Amino acid sequence: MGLRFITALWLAKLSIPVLKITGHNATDFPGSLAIKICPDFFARIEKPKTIIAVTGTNGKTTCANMICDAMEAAGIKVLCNRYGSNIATGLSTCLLQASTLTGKSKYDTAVLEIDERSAPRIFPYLIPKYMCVTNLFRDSIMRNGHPDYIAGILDKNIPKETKLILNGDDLISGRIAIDNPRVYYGIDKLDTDVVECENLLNDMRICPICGSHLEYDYRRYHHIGKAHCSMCDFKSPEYDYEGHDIDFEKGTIKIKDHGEDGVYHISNDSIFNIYNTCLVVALMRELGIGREKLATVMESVRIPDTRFNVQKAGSVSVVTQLAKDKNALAVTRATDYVRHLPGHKKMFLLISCYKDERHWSENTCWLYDCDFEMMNDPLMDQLICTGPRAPDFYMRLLYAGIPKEKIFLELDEHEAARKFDLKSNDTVYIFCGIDAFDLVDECRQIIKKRAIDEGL
Amino acid sequence: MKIEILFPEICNLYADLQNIEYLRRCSPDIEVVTTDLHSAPKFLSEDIKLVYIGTTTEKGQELVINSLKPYTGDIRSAIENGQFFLMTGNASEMFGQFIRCDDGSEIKGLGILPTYAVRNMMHRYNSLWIGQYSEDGKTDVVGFKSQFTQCFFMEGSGYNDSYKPLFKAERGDGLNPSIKEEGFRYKNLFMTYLLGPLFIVNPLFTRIMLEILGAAETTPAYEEASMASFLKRCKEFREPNRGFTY
Repeated sequence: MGLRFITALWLAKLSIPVLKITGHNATDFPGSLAIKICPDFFARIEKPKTIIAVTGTNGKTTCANMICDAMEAAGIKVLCNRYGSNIATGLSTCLLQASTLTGKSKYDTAVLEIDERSAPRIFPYLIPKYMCVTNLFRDSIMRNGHPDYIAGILDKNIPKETKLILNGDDLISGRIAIDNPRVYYGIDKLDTDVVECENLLNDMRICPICGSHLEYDYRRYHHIGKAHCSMCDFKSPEYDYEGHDIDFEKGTIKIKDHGEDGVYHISNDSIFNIYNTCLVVALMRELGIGREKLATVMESVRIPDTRFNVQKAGSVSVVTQLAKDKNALAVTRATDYVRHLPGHKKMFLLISCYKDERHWSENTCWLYDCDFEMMNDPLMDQLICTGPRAPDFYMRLLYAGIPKEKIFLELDEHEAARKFDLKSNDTVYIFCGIDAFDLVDECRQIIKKRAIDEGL
Repeated sequence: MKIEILFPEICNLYADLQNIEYLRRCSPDIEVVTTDLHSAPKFLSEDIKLVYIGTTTEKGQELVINSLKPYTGDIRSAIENGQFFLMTGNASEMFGQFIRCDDGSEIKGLGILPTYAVRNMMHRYNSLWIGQYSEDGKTDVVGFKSQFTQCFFMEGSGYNDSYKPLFKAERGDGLNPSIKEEGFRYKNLFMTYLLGPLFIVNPLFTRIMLEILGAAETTPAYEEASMASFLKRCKEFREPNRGFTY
């Protein structure tokens, strides 16, 4: 332990209360400071003995938080970067917060959400015992390129000894680090499955071995499903943890492992989130938690309400649905979920990549990878395009075949919230990215106030 | 008018294919056909007005080269005889001389175009882009670049009377960061590194392309909405404080 490391550790620790007192977010800066003072800080700080890493394009924050909830409910004290960033500086912040003044870890176990793009800077210094991968899809064009590129990064950097918990229905993420030990979770065929792809995003159309046409036995959405090669013997893997018999009324799923079923609570009825439940169950079973105990544990696992939040004012409901902008898959999945909910809806789109707008402008290619066609739905009464990219959304919605009479265009978000057509019993879905939470709150308050003031 | 899309199963990144879907919506006279990796290109044996190929992955580039290699001579002849081609994003790299990888190795291209590409997989080059259509020097064009490669002419080659710049950058880089000329037109082959739904965000350039393709009477679909978003983007991309490369 060198003087430089200790200086970095203490100054970084000291910065945390200072940042909090001054009203700043202390999730990234302390780690950045420590690495600036001691460049190999991340390598040198002691890590918990058992590390569970969570990565993937979508759902990793949700899954990491669900795993933390499950482990805490199972009586395991766990370090989690629940509110921290998932790159090397954020993980350093998380680790230094949980260390003693001499840099020793106060925890035996950590659940760390890890940005898949940051793997080269993280894995040389951190060996996860388990690595859970939710999925790999197209993400930010600018940062992530394409899923094959991200799979390549993970291939090169995941430590050889790490056991992978993989989605067997995702033929992209399911094939990473092919020599590592692994188990697969998945969900057996559902009545709603199709064969032909109904989505714009479909990144697994050819066999990864021979390049021939890939035939889907069934497809859930995009490239998620069960497939086999039309020419060689390549096919989707068998499940080690097989989800089946989802009971939406009771809110349960049966998951079979080692020949026996467990029945587990699902905290959300979207298939996307049921995959997250399967992942958590697979991990907990790998950790040796018995089915009965795990069933009780899963009762306490919830989706964080920043992802899906419902508030009422009079007869009006305002639902916040996280739908990461620049991420065509996230917005498509959120739209698909909402369109299948009963009742008429109004869609308030706050997905203008506000962080980008501060400095440059969003690359809008993703709008045409995203299935806005799903918003061309008889139950979606009005679509509110607002924010700096509103004209792009307007164009995209027309392209999706939505009649212009159903589209409300207003650049100013607050004005849009004040002026769109709000009626009694309306359910307004605010689609938002993670950099628009303040704006979401302001718009939500305006809509709720309107509901009260207008006696709705 | 018949448009052939080459290898839509892999050459489909960043919504590039919407360029052709958009053209299809501009006119009921436009028919779109597709060719997969295991089939011969239709334009070699059928009357195809425009051949389109979009952006693909690094592995995809090798698959395309392997698929087209047996037809290299015929493709070259077709281009020399005026076959219309449109290549967006990294699509033209497969038709160049080689792609140099990070480790110095080279993937041999089809050798039809006098260009080569250099990959830097740890540095993704992102840029907003605004410039003009070179032929008239005044039609604004906006777009986006997002790539791992940069493209260069081979020694002894470059822009000339045969290889004319397609666009000229007002802000943003050209074919590579050392020049302002972006893309090129060789006979009836058009290539650009601007990716994604180029036609949708550029109603003026779409009109020009439709005219070049012999469909001058055709109006870009949703033209009013497309123009509104185009004009806003032009204004934004000219704001001096707006970041441009990333």
